[in-house]
Amino acid sequence: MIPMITAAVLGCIGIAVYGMFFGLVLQGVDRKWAARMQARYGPPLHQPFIDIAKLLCKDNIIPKNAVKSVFNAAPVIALAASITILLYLPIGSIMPVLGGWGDIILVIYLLTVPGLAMVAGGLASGSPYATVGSQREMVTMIAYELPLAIAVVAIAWRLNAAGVADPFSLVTLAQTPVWGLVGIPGIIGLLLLMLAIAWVTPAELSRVPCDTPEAETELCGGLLVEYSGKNLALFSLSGAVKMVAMATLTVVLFLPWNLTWFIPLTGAVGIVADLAFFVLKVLLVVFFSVSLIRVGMARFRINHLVTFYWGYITLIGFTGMILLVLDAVLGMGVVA
Amino acid sequence: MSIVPAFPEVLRQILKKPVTNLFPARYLPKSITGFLNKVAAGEATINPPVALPPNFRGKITYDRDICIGCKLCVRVCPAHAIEFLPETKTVRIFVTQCIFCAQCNDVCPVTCLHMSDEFMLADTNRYSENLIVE
Repeated sequence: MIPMITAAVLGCIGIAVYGMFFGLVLQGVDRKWAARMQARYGPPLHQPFIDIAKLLCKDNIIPKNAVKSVFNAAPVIALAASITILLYLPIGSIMPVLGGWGDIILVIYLLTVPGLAMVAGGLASGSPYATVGSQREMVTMIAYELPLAIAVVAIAWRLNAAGVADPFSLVTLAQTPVWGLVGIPGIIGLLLLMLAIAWVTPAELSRVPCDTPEAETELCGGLLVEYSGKNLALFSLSGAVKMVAMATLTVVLFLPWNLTWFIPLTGAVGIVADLAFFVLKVLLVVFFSVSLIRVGMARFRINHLVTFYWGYITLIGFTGMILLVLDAVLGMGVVA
Repeated sequence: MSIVPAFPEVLRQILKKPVTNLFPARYLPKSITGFLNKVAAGEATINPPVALPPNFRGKITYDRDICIGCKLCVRVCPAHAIEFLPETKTVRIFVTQCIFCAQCNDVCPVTCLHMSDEFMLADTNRYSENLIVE
């Protein structure tokens, strides 16, 4: 028992460091890509690190009419929850630290916690802008949860129909690419689900076009309007870690292949090769579902956002799910 | 692709060379003055600024040998940037006051005034040697 706990603790610390570092690198890459798409050079790759270091040097300003305890606790909870998600997600061929204790349903619930912490922090900051931002964040969360859940449930159901044991477990998902188990309707369905997830990612991360709760131009930063210094740094870090988590989740669901499955590499070389391949996949996901969408679109109005996610993206998700079900019912692909 | 019309455009732009001119250095140096000192010492190179357009109106130049002291430029100057010096019958131009309209260039009967390409005129002292043309 003791060595297991030690391993878990060391794993948690390692994952926390990895999550923050990789998240900030991803943000740097994202800013670079966004700049290139706008015909700019963009800031250096380590600019997010500079920003965080600067924020950490600055004082926390707590507004007079804020609820101090909640206001200060929210950023910590957001960062802690974001890091906790990573503990359940596999990285390359490295299996999750807490893989045996939770499944993808837990991950979906955990994904809402940073958002909820931001809502709590916004409501506690005693600013009308932050209050409006919090309400918008709640509406956004309600809007994007359904398509995300549909995608996850559809894939797990199809795995179950193919006779895979424990389909909600992340270890199972990471080791059985669902693409190999489905026929043609299933592949079309999976592509649709992938599209839905690609659109859920920016909403989950509150990036353009779904940064309605923050909305610099109308709400001066919305939820984060009263946050400064170390608290804001924690929120930015939490956003960075959440980006890693969302990209990893997409990779686990749709692109779970490892390099070692195709090329016989063993030991440390295999792990490093898988990690490099994993980083490549994450970068691909970030390019399409974060950078491209945020550069190519303007911010949604809050009612558009709800219509878009509940209407179109949910419809796309449902179509994908129905195609996956049809695939299993018609006996195409692998059926147990 | 009419739903997301910007996507093809931004994807095309990612392959193009960025249009930003990285002046004076690729990224902001730790210290601008330190960087400029390094450039002066030949240890670093400065990224050249954007090529100037034709007929650019930069810092004014004055050829006092040709000047006939007719005071037309003093009269025409809308910003009162030109001072007449009676003892030498020449003019003195205060660049901080100048609005770079080049009307004096047009009116000068002997064309002793010209607009140069020099535009880096920032200074802490508005009466520094660099900012007074005689």
